[in-house]
Amino acid sequence: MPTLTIDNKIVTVPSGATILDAAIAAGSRVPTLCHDDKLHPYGACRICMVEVMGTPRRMVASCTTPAANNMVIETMSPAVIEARKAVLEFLLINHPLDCPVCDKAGDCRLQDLVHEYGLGASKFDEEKRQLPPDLSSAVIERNANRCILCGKCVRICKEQNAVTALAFTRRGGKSRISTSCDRPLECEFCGECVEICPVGALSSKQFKHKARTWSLEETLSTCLYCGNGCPIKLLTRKGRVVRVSPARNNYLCARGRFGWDAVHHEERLLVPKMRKDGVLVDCTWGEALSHIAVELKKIKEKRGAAAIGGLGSIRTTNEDNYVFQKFMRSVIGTNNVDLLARLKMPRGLNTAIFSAELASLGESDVILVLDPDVAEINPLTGIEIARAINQKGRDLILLNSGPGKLNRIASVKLKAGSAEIALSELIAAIGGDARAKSEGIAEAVSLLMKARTISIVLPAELSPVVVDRAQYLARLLGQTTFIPLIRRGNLQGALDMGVLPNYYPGYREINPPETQGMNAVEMLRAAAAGTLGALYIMGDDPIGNSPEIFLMLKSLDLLVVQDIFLTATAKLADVVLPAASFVEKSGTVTNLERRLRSLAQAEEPLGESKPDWMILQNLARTMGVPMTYASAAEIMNEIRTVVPAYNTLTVGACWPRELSPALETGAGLSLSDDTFLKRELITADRLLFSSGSMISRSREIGTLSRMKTAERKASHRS
Amino acid sequence: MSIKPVAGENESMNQMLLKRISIPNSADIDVAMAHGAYASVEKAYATRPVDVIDEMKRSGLRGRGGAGFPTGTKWSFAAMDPKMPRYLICNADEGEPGTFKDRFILEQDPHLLIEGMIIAAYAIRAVRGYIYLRGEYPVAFGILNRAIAKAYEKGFLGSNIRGKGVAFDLSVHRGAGAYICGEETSLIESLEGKRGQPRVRPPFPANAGAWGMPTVVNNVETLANVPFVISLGSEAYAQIGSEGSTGTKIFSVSGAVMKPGGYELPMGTTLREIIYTHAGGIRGGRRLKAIIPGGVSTPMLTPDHLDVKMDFNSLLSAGSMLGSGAVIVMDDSTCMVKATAVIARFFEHESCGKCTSCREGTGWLSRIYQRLVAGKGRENDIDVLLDICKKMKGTCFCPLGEGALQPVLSSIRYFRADYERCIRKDGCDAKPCKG
Amino acid sequence: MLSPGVIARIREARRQYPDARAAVLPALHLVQEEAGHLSAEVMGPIAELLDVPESDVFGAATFYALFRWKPGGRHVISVCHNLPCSLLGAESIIEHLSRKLGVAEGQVTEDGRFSFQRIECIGRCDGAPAMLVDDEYHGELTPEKIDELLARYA
Repeated sequence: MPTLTIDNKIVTVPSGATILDAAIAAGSRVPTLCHDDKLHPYGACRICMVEVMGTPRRMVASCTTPAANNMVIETMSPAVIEARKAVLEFLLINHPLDCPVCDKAGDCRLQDLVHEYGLGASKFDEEKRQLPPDLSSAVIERNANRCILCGKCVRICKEQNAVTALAFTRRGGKSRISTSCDRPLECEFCGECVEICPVGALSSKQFKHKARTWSLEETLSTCLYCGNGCPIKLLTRKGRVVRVSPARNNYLCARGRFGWDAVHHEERLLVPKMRKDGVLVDCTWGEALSHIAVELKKIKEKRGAAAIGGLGSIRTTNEDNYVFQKFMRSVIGTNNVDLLARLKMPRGLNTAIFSAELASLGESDVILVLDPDVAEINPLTGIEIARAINQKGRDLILLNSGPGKLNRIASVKLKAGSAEIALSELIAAIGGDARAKSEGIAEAVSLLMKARTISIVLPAELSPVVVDRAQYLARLLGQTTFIPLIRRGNLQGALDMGVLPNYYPGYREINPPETQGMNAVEMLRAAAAGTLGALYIMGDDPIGNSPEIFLMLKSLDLLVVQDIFLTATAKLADVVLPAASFVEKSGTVTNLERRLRSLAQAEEPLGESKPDWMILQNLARTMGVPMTYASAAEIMNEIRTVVPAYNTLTVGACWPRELSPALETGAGLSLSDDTFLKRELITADRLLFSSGSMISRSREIGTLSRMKTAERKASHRS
Repeated sequence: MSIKPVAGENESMNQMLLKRISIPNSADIDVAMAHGAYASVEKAYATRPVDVIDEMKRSGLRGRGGAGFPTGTKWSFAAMDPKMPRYLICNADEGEPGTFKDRFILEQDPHLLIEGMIIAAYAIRAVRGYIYLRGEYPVAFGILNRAIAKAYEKGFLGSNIRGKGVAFDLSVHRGAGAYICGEETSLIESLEGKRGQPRVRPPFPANAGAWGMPTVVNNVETLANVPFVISLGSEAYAQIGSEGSTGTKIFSVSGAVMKPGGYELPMGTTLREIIYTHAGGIRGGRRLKAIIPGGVSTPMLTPDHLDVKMDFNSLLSAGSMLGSGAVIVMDDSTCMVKATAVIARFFEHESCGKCTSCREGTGWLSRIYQRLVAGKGRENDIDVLLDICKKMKGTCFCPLGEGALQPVLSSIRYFRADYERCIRKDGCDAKPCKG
Repeated sequence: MLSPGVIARIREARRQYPDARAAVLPALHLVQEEAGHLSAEVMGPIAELLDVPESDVFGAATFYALFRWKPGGRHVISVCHNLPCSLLGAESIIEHLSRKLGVAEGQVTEDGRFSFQRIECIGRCDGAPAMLVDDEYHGELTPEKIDELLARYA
């Protein structure tokens, strides 16, 4: 614990701390360009130089020099200021002064520092370097002239994500950050390099010339593209989102960072539509809601409430789902309410039981990954694994991987026929069975036995056998957490809200069993058989996922679809109601870690669209049932009284897994036993840029998707 | 090969390192062994590793690569780190322009180097060694590979050296043209297959070098001294040389002298003796104008410094450095602007590009020099050059940037008139820039 | 893209190191020795063979001055232009070579026999001015000596 003097202040810092750490502790402001707490120390830019007093005095880079006992440091001595000015003058030798057309202006470290240190005219009077910009990469633009070679992009790409698409190339003054052979970028396009670039060398094409950074307003919200529910910043200009960034110290994948543009897609539903003479035509809210109210009443009177069903959504908020199930139960009077997403939940895998916090990967000594495509299926999980290995020195045991990013950082490369076989052999080996096995089993066992804490990343295609064996292995090893690869949006929240035929909100079981409703599969079957008269679908597109469902739904008397686009399912509907997108409403979602996240409204709802809960409330009112929520927050207040786990749950916190009733009852929440539709509904494409009604309308993701498809085709040919 | 294979004639009784190279086929293991090669291995093995390190400390041997760090101390740092395996790396990236001392050993007495490495490896308990050989030494590459194979055959390398239960494996790793790899952390990066850029220190190689393990990096000439420390004993060894600089030094003498070559002389020999007694004085009846005493990264000296002793301390006092002991001699026909321009171009080419000051500073310096020698000097060029040096001083990541300043600062200091003539374009008869 | 022979030799080189990445430089040398130069086409195969990110292979390959990215002549002449050689006439040697071969630096003669380039110090300062022809050193060069030497290379 060295004690040292910085700018006349005495500070004690932990051993291993750098002078920069100590300076921060002492309240001194030392500028940095190449340093980032997320990355290994690098020491290249030289802007953080400070002066170590003594004889002789010496200048050191504070970011890489350890703080030592009795050091006396000055961070703003005349020599320091001279050195910083020198570094800035050097950096401006080749940096173009094109700030007027640079999207980074206003948020640029170099610009700020040059301004702060009041650099006069440079003595540099030679030719500037001129390099061609890369305009051909998808999503990201690279301008090498603006690059100050701090290497943050190279390091974040390698250290945080293990992708290593970018590297330093060439040497000396010709150094350039580039890709292999200067080709366009081929990577996961997470955009972290753009985020971390201190200047305008890497920029988002999506944001190009959209706004000056100082005109942006910031709204903290949550990404809904997968169950990780990453905190995001919605950056708006004049009430319109122009950019999405990760909030705080988080990071994002391509979908989260670039995929939001779907909300501005020209196909957004702006007004309600209803079918007249067989054709969907625009109508007023009054016409649409009246029509639905009349039809629903008619069916209820004629065939009973059980002839009406509702499918909730994992793409909307907890509040939307809560109001949805409440509408079905108390306005319609049926428990026929469910989530199609349950079809994709493996049997026995209650996500609430299984999911550990993603961050626990970094706390585990050993990470056993049973799906080699983890990084493509769930990029965030891939990043978290890479961070655990590269930044925290954990060990990775990887099953059946070819050359690739995780293979390169794996301590043990297991080769076994399948996850089932690998698990069985691990269990046998731990039990002392030393017979010859698949490659890597012995090494894996020795790592696992030494580890104090272990994370197991389960394969995306989970069979009951895998779940059983993984649980058995966990019991043998102790201190094991599971990370599933399911990547659906607000699945956890929708389940918690009781969008289930057999549970009320908070997993209160509906008794007697005869009063439980039909599940999603039963509803679809009933629709096909003609026993279901009306189906109300909020924020889901079964036909889009599986065209065969068209035949099942076409004989319904009433199909209502509430969505942001005219999806394949909506095209069959009798009434289509325009919903507000996730940037246009407030509310909460619950991610796979059971963590409550909040959505905040950054834009006015487009056209006449409204938040889902408000549409349902208006419909209830049209049907003569009073519903008087003034805001999503008011709905949340009610949820807190109804769902015990949410009673005192604050945004950012996880509800304790012990509160999951399925732990006691062992009841699964999965519908995957029902093979009737499972095959159709699980999309064949498990990869990163796979379709979905929203993501498929992102221009940026569309570009990436086409590129990936072309790549895959090319690799099949070769 | 049309270059004479012998080092400069020097029959000093202090000659150790270059003693065998005048023998025909000295690179042949049988010839070398007949003349004493590998004799010190068993003597070293008869003592404990820690004794070898102590012996090295007592000998006063300092690194011959440029920095002059005490060799025994360096070894002890690695030996104290409990991590295993440890690595021994021979720095044969002799890249400092004007330096060719290691080449004699690499090409003509490789077994002396291997012998030194076997002892060093024993001292630090390294079981794996690499000779990092510069890519510009293709002939040495073949010779070293053959020598290593022969040493394996004779049982001096392998898993049980001479039946003593000591293991040491050795191979050659070829560089590919990067001066920066002479810096030990860059060399380690390059050995690991990366760009040769210097690492953040700490951790130091002694604790986390190659593949994160304790590593000693020693220059060829340093390792070649090791067998003599063992065979002579540290006390006798320390008798050679001068205060603070024990042993001999191979001086690479080049430029405007009658007899350029490698001269092994005791540390502390004067520049005058090296240039006039051994290298035969200045060519063509010209007058001496400037001397670079330790390779192009060391400050230039003038005829006034001829009586400076060539050792670590004396050269520091004279405002320069021993460096690699590469003495480059310039006569009065040399335009110092042009000579410095060549050096500036070299540093621009060799800057690794990692840190701002060196990357941009060396490029800026060189661009001014190239303009100067093209006859396009400007009135304020000297001021700008000095200003760039001031800005680079103390702000570079590694010693390369600091080295790049020395020729600029010293040539302006001693030969400002050349710069002024060059800028004014009067009276400069140097070719091709006839102002 | 890599010949079976080169692949085998890269694998052999790899065994000298505790980590595959260390074989990147040996691999680049081996490829250049066989093909005469490096190319974009070999970066991927080397990266895959050693399971190193391709951008890192390219980053390393472009760092080192001795790797060439375009075909040289059958014999590659590298003339040292550093200070000791320069003091003794390296520039006039380069001029002479250029005139004699009828090509500029970095270019290949029409008959494909030679290409020539500058190189930093090759450690033959005692024989300055000096050059390398392929893997052979020649020193104390004069225009006459160069004419004589060139005739010896087919």
